[in-house]
Amino acid sequence: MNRKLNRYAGYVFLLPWFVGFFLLTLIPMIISLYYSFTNFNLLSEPKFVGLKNYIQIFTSDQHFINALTVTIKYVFISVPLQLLGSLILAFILNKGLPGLSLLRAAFYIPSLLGGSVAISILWRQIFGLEGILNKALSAIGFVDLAQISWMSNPDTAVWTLIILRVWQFGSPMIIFLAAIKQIPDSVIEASAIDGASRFKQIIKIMIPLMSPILLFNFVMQIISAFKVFTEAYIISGGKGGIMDSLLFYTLYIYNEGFGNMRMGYASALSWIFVLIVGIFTSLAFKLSSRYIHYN
Amino acid sequence: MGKKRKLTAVILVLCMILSGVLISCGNSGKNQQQTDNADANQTKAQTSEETIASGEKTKLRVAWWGNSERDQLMYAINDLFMAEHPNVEIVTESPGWDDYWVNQATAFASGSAADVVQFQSNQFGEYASKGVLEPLDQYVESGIIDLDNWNMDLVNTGIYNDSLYFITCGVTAQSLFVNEDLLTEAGMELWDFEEDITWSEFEDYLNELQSKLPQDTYAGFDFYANNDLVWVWIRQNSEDGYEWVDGDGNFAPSAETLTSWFDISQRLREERTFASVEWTTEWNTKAWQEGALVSRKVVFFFENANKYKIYQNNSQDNIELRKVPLSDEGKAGDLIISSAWGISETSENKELAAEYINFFLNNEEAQKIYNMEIGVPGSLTIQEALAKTADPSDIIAMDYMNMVAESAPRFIPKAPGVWAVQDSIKSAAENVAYGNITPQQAAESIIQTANDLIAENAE
Repeated sequence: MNRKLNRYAGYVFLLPWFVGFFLLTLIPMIISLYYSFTNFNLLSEPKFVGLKNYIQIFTSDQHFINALTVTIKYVFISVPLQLLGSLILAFILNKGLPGLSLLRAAFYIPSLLGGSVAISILWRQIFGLEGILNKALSAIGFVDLAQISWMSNPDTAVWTLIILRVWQFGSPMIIFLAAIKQIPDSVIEASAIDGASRFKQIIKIMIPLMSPILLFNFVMQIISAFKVFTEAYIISGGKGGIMDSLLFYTLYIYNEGFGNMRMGYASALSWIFVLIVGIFTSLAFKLSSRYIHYN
Repeated sequence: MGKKRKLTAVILVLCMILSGVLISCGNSGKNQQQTDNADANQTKAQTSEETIASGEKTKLRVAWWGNSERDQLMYAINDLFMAEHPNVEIVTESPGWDDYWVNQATAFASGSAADVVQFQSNQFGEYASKGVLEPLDQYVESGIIDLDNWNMDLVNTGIYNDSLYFITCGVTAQSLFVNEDLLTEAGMELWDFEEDITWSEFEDYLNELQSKLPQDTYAGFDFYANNDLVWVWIRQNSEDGYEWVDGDGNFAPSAETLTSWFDISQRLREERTFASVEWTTEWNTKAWQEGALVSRKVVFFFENANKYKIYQNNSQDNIELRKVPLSDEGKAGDLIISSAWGISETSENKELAAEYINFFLNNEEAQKIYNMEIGVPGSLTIQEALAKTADPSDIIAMDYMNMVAESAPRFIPKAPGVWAVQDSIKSAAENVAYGNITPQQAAESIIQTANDLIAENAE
């Protein structure tokens, strides 16, 4: 009786996750895959159109190109910058500085606030034409720069969101801090005895030993960055900004599906997005065999 | 782990799963009911009557696009209705404009739309063509909705494919707001209220004004992103009756018409009579009360006439109202923008919904509360009643709408798919402004996009 119960207990405990996964993830994904081959507009029955949506996306949709460009630029600039900043801070905070716990809490606060609606509105007040940044630039004599509307200028708009993301370095910083604490003191001491400088210790010993955590943070932040929506929606007014400068891919899917009621088309966009994120994630894991050290 | 503990854990997990399954079964049962035919609706109506007889309250869901001030007006009107119908409880849904249409699209798609839903004439064709709305003709014929002494031109804006789907709760149209104090300071005079001006004359006037204005102040607010004005331009340059789609079902506006729309904005930006695109984008994100007109950044500003009172009340200066310029051939293209009530096809309280619409639109006390919030009412009786006590700004807006309604071409609802084109028009205008494409290229890409959207909706 005990053995039977043991055998089935595991499946029973997994059941809630399975039920949730099937009902809330897998089945909706299969339905959206079907919709991607239809002209579903939310109000009428979907009609099968074959590959028409996909062909249109790849052959005549400039917004698709723009959205992909903006999103990839955002992801592959903001994430490395964010991780670099959080790594450097983690090393600094690892030292025995006075008021360390207060500093850690203070640096974590931006991650708590996140890219919320309130912060996005605040960012508009900072980087807008009459925002705090321009007032400061004007005060110190950079009058020409102070005429730029950082959020409405197509060349600078995405950078305001990159800065917003980099500002939220607290979450990866805490994870890096934990990873640093895991490194055995004996290894560091041995390297010190061998004459390694602090910089060499970090580059040659600590970072390689932390590489699995680096990979984890990199993959998680990449996926999170690809999904960015709230900040782009609020800051661009929901339309993707001037000349699609803030038309993030998720925002484009939202506008096509719910704004223009082209749910079939939006589903096709979503599946292409899944493939793209999957490719990048797979690449990251593929490269990990060369750069990640697990022992 | 003890046998008892394992058993307890397993039972708890099974309870969790069971409750989840029961909840989803409940929802799918409700969805299935909503797709039943008229017999089932008849059953539901009988159930509603039994509910009333038993003393329980009937819930009536009403949805509109709201803001803090408008919501208060609606709550007051709903309280009045509930006072006359003590067995009815009104449940309200009032997201802001930007989220409203997303909410409605998903609500109608899931069969959970409110009983009474507010629409704007841009979306009439989208929803009426999909069979998700109840035709209102029967309620007018039976007298539940009373349209005696209504402006029938305004009633007819709610007709789609010969059936009445929408009853207007207020009409407006594009107009020109003018900061007359700023104009006077610049040493220029404004033409009379009823006088017409062509686009060429208007362009010359703006350029002359710009030469007399201080730095950082512009003669006009760039209208490349004005989704209402572009349709007026199109109607001025189109054959009457074929503004949206031509006889073959293709997007009607010609490349020449669209090119000229981009050209005028471009010329005025090059003259620095309009600000840069970034400046305009920045000011477009601000609320009305902090906008460019109220902040004395521009003199002329195209806006819907129903907002005149808000701008005037928030401005230190005198704001005047003038007509949109005519085409150079003297043709008006004013497009009546109607906000209207409709009843969702899945409503379980259609007759009650019709009673609510009738009350809202014809009850004098309710209309005094609403006070032309969303435009001039369609009922001439109500117009006369409001004129006695209305805000002077509202009287001006009412006079303006009556003037425009006389000269405007016949209202035609936009065909499904046409509404979605305006985002492409704005996007193309931005690319023209930055020199990425020529106005001609922009026009051609819009026509292609529009025809694709129209074809998609026709499938």
